[in-house]
Amino acid sequence: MDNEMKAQPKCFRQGELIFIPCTVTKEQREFLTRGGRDMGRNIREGEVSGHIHAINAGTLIELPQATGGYYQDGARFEIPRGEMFLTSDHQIKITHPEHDTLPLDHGDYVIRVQREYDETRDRQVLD
Amino acid sequence: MRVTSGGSKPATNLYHHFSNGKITIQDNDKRDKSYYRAYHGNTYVYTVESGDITGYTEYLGQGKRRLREVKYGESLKEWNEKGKLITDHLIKAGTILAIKPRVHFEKYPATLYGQAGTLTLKKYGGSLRGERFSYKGGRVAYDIRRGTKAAKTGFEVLSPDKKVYARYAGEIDFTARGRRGGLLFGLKTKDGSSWEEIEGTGYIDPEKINIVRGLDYAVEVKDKDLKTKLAGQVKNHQRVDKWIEDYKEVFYILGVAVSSKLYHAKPEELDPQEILDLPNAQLRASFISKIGLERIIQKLKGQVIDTDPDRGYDLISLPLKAVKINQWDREPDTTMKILKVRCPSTGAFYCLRVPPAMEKVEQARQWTFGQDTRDIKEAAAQYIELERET
Repeated sequence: MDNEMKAQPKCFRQGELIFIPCTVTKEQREFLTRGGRDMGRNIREGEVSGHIHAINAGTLIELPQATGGYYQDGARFEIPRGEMFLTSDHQIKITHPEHDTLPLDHGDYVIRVQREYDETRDRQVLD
Repeated sequence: MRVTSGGSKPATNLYHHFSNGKITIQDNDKRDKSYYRAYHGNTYVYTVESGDITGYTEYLGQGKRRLREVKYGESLKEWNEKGKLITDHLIKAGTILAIKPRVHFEKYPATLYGQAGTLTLKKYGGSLRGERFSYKGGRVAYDIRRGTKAAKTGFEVLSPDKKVYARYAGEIDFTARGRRGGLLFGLKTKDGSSWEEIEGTGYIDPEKINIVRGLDYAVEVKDKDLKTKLAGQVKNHQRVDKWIEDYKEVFYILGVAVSSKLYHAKPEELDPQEILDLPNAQLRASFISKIGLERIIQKLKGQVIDTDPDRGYDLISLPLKAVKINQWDREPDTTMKILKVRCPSTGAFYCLRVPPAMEKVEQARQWTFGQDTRDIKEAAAQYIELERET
């Protein structure tokens, strides 16, 4: 694999959630936090189990529309509608009753939900 | 030659024929040049520089009673439902008008479940704003008006002794699309022909359930003896669960009618091979999620086409009956690919369905992370590397 083509930074995963570090400007961060829906502490509740992935710090935003930004190495990324944006000045801990706690450094993250194939359409993984 | 306009309020648009003339439109609306709207008080004024336009007459409902008469260059006259002259304007020579509509009521003799009464339509210009049926003697069967709570959530049709003949839960569709004569239920003759052919008399058909619209709604229509003839609910535009159609029970899953046996079967009673052979892709997807991918690979095994021994991941392939989803769609799937993964925290195995094009465990895993995999080499450059997983 050509290392120069590698656009993705090292990411983190807890269950069906993938945390992708990204860099946004101050203006972009303001735009994202103002334009999206503040989700409080709960990232996602399991539709089957009812278990909740939660944050202990930072601001969690659900994006109402597709938007973009840049990864730490300068590559551009797109945040599709429905994905989430997490920003924090302090270290973040992601908790879940079944999974080990995931510590994340302070910074900005796009949160993506793992998807599953459906021959009639794509759907997100339910836990 | 023809002059028309569009985009105005209901019934304010023009549609006139005239011969060999020229029309100047006073254009005050700068937003959209494809339509001209010249606004002048309550009327829309168009000036005819030359030409020959004579006028038109609107009649009340299907009757012969005049509601409005326009004679260009002469007069505009309007009458109420009782025939009283309520407007008498002079129209200047060389001017045509599209006049703002007004609310009026139209009444027709009709029957509901064989019982005579009066159907009253509230109309604004040509569009329906409300519909009411009252039996002889004054009891109201239903009275539904656009914009009210009942029009947004549903209403009931009552018998003369206040028993429920029919109920509709959902948003009532007041648009005239797909309906004859702009009525909610429409009027039918005994042989089922449309009301327009019978001069506004006929019976109301409560089985016309397309009066309710939206993603989710429910209907129940009984016969005269209050036995349910048609009932069920729609979720996400699809019939679901038990329906009664012409007194008979029909079971639906995701809008597809299935046998009672299949509908009521518990996941452990279903044969995975039978599920994979189902002739409807949507139904098959629903049953696959019902019985679980774990049970499918437990029972049918499948072929392991790639494995990641470090993580304990397997990519498994199973043959699938090809079912075309619709005529415009891509080629149907002939294999089902399942990625068996292990949770790093709990050690439990679980299964994710991935596209049939997947060939490698890592490729399939990356697909579940949202990475495009049309080309394995290109996709590899975009792979998400995980520093930590819990």
